[in-house]
Amino acid sequence: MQHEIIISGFGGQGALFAGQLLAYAGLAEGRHVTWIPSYGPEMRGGTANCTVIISDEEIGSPLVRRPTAAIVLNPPSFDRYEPLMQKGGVLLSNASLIAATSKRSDIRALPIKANEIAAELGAAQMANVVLVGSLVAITDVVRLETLDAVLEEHVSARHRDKLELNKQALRRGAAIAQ
Amino acid sequence: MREFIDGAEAIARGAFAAGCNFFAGYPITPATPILLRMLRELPKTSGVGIQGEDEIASIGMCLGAAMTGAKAMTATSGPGLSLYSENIGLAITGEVPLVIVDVMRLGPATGGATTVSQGDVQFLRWVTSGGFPIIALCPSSIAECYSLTQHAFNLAERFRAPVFIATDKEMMSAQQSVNTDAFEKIEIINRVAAPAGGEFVPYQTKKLADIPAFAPIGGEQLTRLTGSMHDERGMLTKKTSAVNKTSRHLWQKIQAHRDELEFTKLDAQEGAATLVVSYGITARSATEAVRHTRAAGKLASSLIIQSLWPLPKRALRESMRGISRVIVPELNFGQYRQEVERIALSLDPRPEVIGVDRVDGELITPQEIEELFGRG
Repeated sequence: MQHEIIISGFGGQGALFAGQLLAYAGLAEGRHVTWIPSYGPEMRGGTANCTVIISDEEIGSPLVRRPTAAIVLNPPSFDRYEPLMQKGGVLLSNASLIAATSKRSDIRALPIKANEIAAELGAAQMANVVLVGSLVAITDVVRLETLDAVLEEHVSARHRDKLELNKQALRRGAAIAQ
Repeated sequence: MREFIDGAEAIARGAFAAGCNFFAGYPITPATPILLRMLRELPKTSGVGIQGEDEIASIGMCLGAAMTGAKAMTATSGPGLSLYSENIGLAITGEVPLVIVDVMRLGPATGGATTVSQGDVQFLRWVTSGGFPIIALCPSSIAECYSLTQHAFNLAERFRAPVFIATDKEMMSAQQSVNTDAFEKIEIINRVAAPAGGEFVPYQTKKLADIPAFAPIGGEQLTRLTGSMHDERGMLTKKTSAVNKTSRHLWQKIQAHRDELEFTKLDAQEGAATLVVSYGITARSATEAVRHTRAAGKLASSLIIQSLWPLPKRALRESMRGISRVIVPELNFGQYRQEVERIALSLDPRPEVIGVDRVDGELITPQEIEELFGRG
């Protein structure tokens, strides 16, 4: 099984971090993973996205043209990736910012008001983590418990006080998607 | 151990494995990750890591360090390489062992700072004035970032010459799960030291293709480094016999050893009519395309170039024999394809050479290459 995931948004929304969470979790589960960041030359803002592959087999080309799953955090990302989704793919969109909804009947599109959910938790910047929680709840990309362990390991000392909030954000995202 | 690392980390580790103890560089996307790792790790040993005030100072410091005996490396991207150009000439003529990483990004000038490219392939070949040969290696996997960096140091030491590692944004910033225990350790080669005592002639060699013994600046023996055309003592000269000898030595010391400088990976299939020649990040898509083509029951061969310069003529010629079509995918306008075409001209029957050129900042997909396998 090979999951080909794209996470995309404005710079600062945490698309790259969300992808790293998934990649580290894949690694912890003993699978092959690649993570490719892509961003503009701007210091702040601009677009940022990353491509994550999590696979049971050795990964050949790390390219993803037609994702099996995507988390889109802003309207331009929705417009770009919605048409590219593979049949049967899962598209999670941040409905707090994206008004559009998918008309495709061959994918599973789930709009989630991730900003509001994160804000309720008191951590508005965790919309990305909420949507990662949603993704793992409705796919078998990685297990939720693995993400907890990865957070323990990779949340920097500076953000240590946010560890529990991150775990809660994952769970809120998972609960709302199910 | 299974680790999740990028090419920049593997290059840094390869440099340490090779005995690198000096690094100077100036930040530039997408080469900065190498600078950061070297600055972080070098002081932990007895090494020196410096962020220079600019590129010109940085490579200058590397030259100086190398001539005192250090194993030096620097890393930059195209715009920085432009600034390195003059001092690269000094490294060639002064026979300075030095490893230079060029992390290619798109376009002339500032270009696409965060965008992948393979646009510096010919720039590296003719990187400074005079038209003398250089050595350039090109990894296409994280494991090769580690092994080829060690080779680059060995070649720099052995040939007393600048050696380039040609890589790109995706190779440096894409992280991947790899088994680092399987990384290849290369035996370290160090420059030949001048024998102690007696009269030392800094650039004296028995034969034109030989490499002069090394005595460090600041050591017991008097040595010289000059950017000017010099005789074997390292003294400026216009004497035609001495100038001729130095020029031909700088040419011969690489060209006479070019067979030993060929690093390639051939995966040939008996009876295949199509060969894909690739390098760097593009080799990954080429490998995938070959795998798909074979899985579909068709024949396909692949040659991956790990040493771009000097041109691995022997491997190219041998792999192209009996082939009717050669595909060369590149993230430029066919800079390496023109070299492949030149070799194709010397073969009978002469294979057709076709390129897949991509210059929009995206990678070439396996499908783009596969389509050409399918045709004809």
